[in-house]
Amino acid sequence: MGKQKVVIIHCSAIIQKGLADLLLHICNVSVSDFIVDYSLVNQISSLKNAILFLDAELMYASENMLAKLKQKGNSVYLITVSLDASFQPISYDGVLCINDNLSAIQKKLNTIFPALPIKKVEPTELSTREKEVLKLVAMGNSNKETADYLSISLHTVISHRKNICRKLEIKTISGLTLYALINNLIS
Amino acid sequence: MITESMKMSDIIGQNILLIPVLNRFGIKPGVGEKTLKTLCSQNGIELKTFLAILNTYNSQEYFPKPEEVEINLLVNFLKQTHTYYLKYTLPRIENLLAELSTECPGNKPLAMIESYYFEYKKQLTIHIDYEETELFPLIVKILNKQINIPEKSNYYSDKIQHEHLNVEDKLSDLKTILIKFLPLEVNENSANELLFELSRFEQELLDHARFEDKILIPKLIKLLKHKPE
Repeated sequence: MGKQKVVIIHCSAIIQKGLADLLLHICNVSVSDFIVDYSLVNQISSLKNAILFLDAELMYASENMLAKLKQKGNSVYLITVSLDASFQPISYDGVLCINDNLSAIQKKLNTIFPALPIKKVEPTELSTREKEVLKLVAMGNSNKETADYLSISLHTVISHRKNICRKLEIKTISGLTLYALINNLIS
Repeated sequence: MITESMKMSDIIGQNILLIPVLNRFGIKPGVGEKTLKTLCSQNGIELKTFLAILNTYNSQEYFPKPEEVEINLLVNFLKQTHTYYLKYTLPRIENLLAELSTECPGNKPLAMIESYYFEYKKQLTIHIDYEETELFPLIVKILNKQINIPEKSNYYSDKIQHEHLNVEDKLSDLKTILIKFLPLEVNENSANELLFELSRFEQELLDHARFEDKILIPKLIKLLKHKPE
């Protein structure tokens, strides 16, 4: 579960909240949408690159729509949430049963998304290039000026800045300036 | 969800951070065994708007329906919130920072943090001032139908679109930097107090912005679109 949109389509508030909480704890994934009203399900037929957790009932209700979602190239995963442990649908990527315990859910999600347990540890140290960009930005240079100075593209500067902000957990330019001052990157 | 029949002592017990919000309506502990409804009628508080405001503070997922909120009361409430920031929260943060500085005279990072804070305070004050002197009076005028809304009402819509984001982000940056770079020689109790105060203020500002962006501004834009007769 990387950058996909995660949607829970279920009318049960307990399942919505519970599943969202589990996903956050097991794999640090936040649910981007909840759909409670099943008549709105048609609106998601254009979804791409998404993981849908659906009420098993919907399997019968809108099979055509689900088949369309699963079309090649859409990279949509369908996972049902069923009350019935013996439920074995064919067109789904997986079934979570309401009685599954934590490790069962973990195991199932691992089968569907093999890359899941490996939480990539990101380096939090700034690279030499990022330090250069930080210095220039903190000194009050615009992105364009920074790009010109380092002879790199504007796009690269913006992407460096995003990485800097993420690594340092600092969001504003004045915050970056204070950081750079305290760390003697600028004077 | 907070309802009118709940005992105020239970409401406060479950979310102690509601106390400053209640204060702005004249309610403070001890509240005895009184229910929310009783306290409302005793203090002359409009029940619907009060409930909407409390619930919005209490849960990020709660959004009151527009008809539940009286704009006049909400504007008043927001003004009182501003006063609370200017008269209580900011001076308190300032004092705590000053306390740390006296403990480590000549500490460079701390001096830099302090000047960052004062720059921040200046901007926040300007932002609050804009809302108090321009935005809120405009809202009140529109509500009281004291101004004609031009046919093309984009003029006002443009005027009332405004940015909070930076105000919260800059405060959150201050907190992050303090967590990372507070000098080790400062008194830990004062340092803790400062961090608690900052994160509480950060949360307050987010809630405050939620009121303005999700309730006040949409309702106003709606008013502008549906020209009152």
